[in-house]
Amino acid sequence: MAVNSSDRPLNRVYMADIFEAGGESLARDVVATFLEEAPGRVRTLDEAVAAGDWGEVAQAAHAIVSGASMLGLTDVAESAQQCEHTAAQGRRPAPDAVERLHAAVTAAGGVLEAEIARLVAGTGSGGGATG
Amino acid sequence: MTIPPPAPESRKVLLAEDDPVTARLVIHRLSREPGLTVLHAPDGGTATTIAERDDLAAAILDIRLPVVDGLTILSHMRKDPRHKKLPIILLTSLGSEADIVRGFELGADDYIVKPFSPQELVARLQRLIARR
Repeated sequence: MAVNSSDRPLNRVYMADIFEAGGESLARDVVATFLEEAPGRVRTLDEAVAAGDWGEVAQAAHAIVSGASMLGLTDVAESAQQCEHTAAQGRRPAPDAVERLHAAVTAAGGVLEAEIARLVAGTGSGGGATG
Repeated sequence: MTIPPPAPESRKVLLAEDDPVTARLVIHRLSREPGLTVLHAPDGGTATTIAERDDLAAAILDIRLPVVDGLTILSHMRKDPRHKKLPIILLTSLGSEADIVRGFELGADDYIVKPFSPQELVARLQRLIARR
């Protein structure tokens, strides 16, 4: 995912595309799916970090990256990818990367809800930044 | 009396993808394609079973999958005479160039990097199916 400062915490292009393809129902559906899945995957990552199981850390982080990147959640995807790359090299992810991931996943619900509200109100036209 | 033309035979597309968000978006887009039916496998074991059981029109394989990875599934499929020329697209992540190269060596037709546009994925898939 190409990231620049204007993409944080959300690259709006992706949610705009989803909204265009399937309207509010598809947007709410995929957001709900992500919000249901992500906290459990972060817990799995935390447990794997505590156990020193770097393979499991990389797998859990990778699972977060996929969904987050498809929704344009730049901060979530980037911090999870950082954890994944470090763990895939057999090393403990940097504590600040894990903390950033926690914060970004916690904030994701609000960010995505606000974006859906903006798109429903007809003020979203894709592109640009939020946050 | 006009006899309606026969309904086009449903063509099955295997989607092997463990991320539910990605899967939902791809299934939504593929479901709008007339005549295509999606068989979704959330892990590599299920994908292998479907590939062995069903006659497919195409396959979309995530490289990183639980149980059996996408490259292993690809390798098995290319050894099956039914799937030798099957259009197969790999889903991969940024920075996975080695996986992409390996995928082409194993017989993948195309790849797309996450995050991607489901519309672009389906356009690539339809192009491959039409060329088959």
